[in-house]
Amino acid sequence: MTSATTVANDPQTAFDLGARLSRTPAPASIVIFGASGDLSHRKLMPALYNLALQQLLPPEMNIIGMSRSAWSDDQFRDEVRQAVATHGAHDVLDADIWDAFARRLHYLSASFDNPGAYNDLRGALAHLNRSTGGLGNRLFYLATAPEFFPVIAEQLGDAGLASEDDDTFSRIVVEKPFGENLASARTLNERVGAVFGERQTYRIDHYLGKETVQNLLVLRFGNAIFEPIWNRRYVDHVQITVAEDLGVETRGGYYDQSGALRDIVQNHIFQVLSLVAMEPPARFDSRSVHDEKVKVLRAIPEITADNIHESAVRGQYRAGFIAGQPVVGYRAEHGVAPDSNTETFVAMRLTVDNWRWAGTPFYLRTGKRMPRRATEVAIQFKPAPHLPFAHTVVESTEPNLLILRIQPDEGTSLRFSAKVPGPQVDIRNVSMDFQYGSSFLKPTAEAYERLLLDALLGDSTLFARWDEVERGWEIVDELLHLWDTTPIAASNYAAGTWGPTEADALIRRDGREWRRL
Amino acid sequence: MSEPATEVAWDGHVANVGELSRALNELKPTGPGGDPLAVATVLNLVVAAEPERAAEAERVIEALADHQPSRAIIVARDPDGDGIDAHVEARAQLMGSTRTPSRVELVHLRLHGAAGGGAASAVRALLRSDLPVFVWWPDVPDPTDPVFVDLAQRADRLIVEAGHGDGSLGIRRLVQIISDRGPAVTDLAWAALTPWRQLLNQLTTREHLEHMREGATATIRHGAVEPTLGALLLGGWLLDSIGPATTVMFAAASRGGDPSICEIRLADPSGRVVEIDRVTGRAAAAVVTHAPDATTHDRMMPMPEPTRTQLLAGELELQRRDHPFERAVHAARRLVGA
Repeated sequence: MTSATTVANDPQTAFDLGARLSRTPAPASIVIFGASGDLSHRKLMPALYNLALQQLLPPEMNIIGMSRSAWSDDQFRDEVRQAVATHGAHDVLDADIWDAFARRLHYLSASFDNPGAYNDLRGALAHLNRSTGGLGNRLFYLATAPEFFPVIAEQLGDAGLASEDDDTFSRIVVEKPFGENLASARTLNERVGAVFGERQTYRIDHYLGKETVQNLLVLRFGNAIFEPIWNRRYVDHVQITVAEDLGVETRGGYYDQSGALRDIVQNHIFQVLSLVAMEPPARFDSRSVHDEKVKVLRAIPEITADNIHESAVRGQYRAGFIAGQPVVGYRAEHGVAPDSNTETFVAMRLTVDNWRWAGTPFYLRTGKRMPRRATEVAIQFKPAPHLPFAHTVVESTEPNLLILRIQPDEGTSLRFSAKVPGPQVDIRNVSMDFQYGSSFLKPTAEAYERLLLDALLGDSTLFARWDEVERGWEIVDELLHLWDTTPIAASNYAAGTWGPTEADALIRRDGREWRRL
Repeated sequence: MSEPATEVAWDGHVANVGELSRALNELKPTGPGGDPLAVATVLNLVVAAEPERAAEAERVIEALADHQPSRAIIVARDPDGDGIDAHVEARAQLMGSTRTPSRVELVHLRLHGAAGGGAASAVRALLRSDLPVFVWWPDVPDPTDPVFVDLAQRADRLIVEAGHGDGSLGIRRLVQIISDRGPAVTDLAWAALTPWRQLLNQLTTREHLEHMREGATATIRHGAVEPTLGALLLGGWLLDSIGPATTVMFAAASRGGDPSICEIRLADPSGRVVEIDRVTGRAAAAVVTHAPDATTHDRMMPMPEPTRTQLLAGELELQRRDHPFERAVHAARRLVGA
């Protein structure tokens, strides 16, 4: 995909890359705020090391970690080395390669609200530019707690580090959550936007970095057979499931302030939904894709007090069993309040009120402590209008189903009817399968590798634009308010089950069932 | 109860390969839990070679790990004897990131005497349908060999190793087999250049390229007496990519018997000079950049040194025509005056 938002100093490919070479970004300094944190250790540092190993980072690239931990450069390098060895794709780090990568790493111990720290940062960036032949480009990655997002952006602005000119870029990557409701998201956007323009702001949603999510666009718009039936005439309904068998693990404190609606639905599921339902973009560039996605979100009616009971159900898990092992209930998890009002499960019924999808419900569900981990989109088609199998045992057939598996076992299946061998006419559903692993030999890149590279290259296609984020909050804002202010029916589903019975009732009202995964 | 078989095989001497399809169908390897296996739907890989090279090719294919073709067919021609010695096997293989193993198959044929002339016919009968056909010819291709011609016609992608002869012969043969109407062609020597080319790509902006177009000088050092196929292809690629004002020079350098490229020096009229020196035994290169203002930066950069198995695995990931390769071959032809 190419971007319409590339600016000064974005690399103009010198050589014809062909099928083998990859674009490399212009030299830049990457500043990671929250460099001592979990995200940095588990995802960002291994991703950067892998990019370097794949010859995708130019030699003048520098990485500065900033956080409150009182580390020296060498201590930071040791931490990163351990992070890469533990969480990266390579067990053994080649000594020369590691040394070369480590020389790019620098560290500033700082409090994020201390203006002096940003003067130090400006000085460090200028020094590194001079000493390594850099071009002055900057990418700031906010891997911190959300309350620091606006503070860091404003401090960067005050220090003169957000400005761009014809020759240099300055970009900011903001992790989720982007706000905790509509009002706070707008405030955050205003504060970040006062310093960094929309073109400079990259709101990360790592789901968009997954190959299978990107393949949604190729499946729909790279094949002639799907798009003609991708509408209300042929599609009965759509189910999107993001199920995790894990509980809150070490994130109890964060999760208890967030919940499933904020953590998964407002960002990941709405992003996937918009890719499933969008119109074909004129071009695969950032602006065209975002324009079509936001149209979908605008066509989803907001949830109001009048329709809330037909639109959404929440749940919170109690003790149960996962894979045969007993697990505690949500309120007994570490970091979770014993009287927590936070939902760990959400099921929703939404509609996309436009010409293509009018009357076709989209059922969404996500939860923790589900029986198994599975993220998928299931397009269920309408039944055959007439079954010409009189005088046979066939009374009905199951509807055709197109299943897009996002994780695990990434791939696509088409379920259709086939005759059971034998003298009788009998019909059973069979599956035509495509699996990434057994059809392509090329391995899929980690989502964070792809997204970091895209941010450096100036391609915002796989990031969330503000109007998408805002519309996501608008859809659920009243629901959030209601759920925040009314007590949850605690422990209304057992760990290891598919959620509360109310979720089944939500879909059964329409005469449909959740897919059994 | 016996353990489920994750690998099963059959050996025999046959008059034709019709029996082999049946033998393959009767082989029923299972997954670790005893589950039946779905066939990997990746590609057919055909290898045609003399017996010694065929045995080596089989070892490379076995080492492909998760890059296994759905069915590998290795054909060796032996002028002695008659009939066909066949070994077929099917096994469970984890592919890519999937957690469920798939079925992959290997067929090794030794065609004796007159049966050698029917190599392409034997292969056609054994291909898995509806999957792309990759032909690996691990030698200098001979466009007058009817078996080569027959297999090339059936191939979607043709992988050769023209570097087994001298470099200029390799270029001439590549020129002969690249055709707009034929399969997508590549050479493992070209695949081995990807780390060099990616590193040059990392170090070169469009602005640099503009300066180079005014008359760059590229010096490629290699460990052989005469330029290897890889050195010639890299020279051809630079000539094609930078432009006709480029001077490409080759120089021999002693690197402990390793004939491959060891160093590149690229100078442009602005005064910028880039020197890349591969570090022996390491997946790294020392890069020195001399800027026009006389400042110098030296760094150690990653530069993978793929094995032959890794090169083949990489080629199996690609399917499209490789236009930069085809242009590099034609530019290299000018360099060797062929």
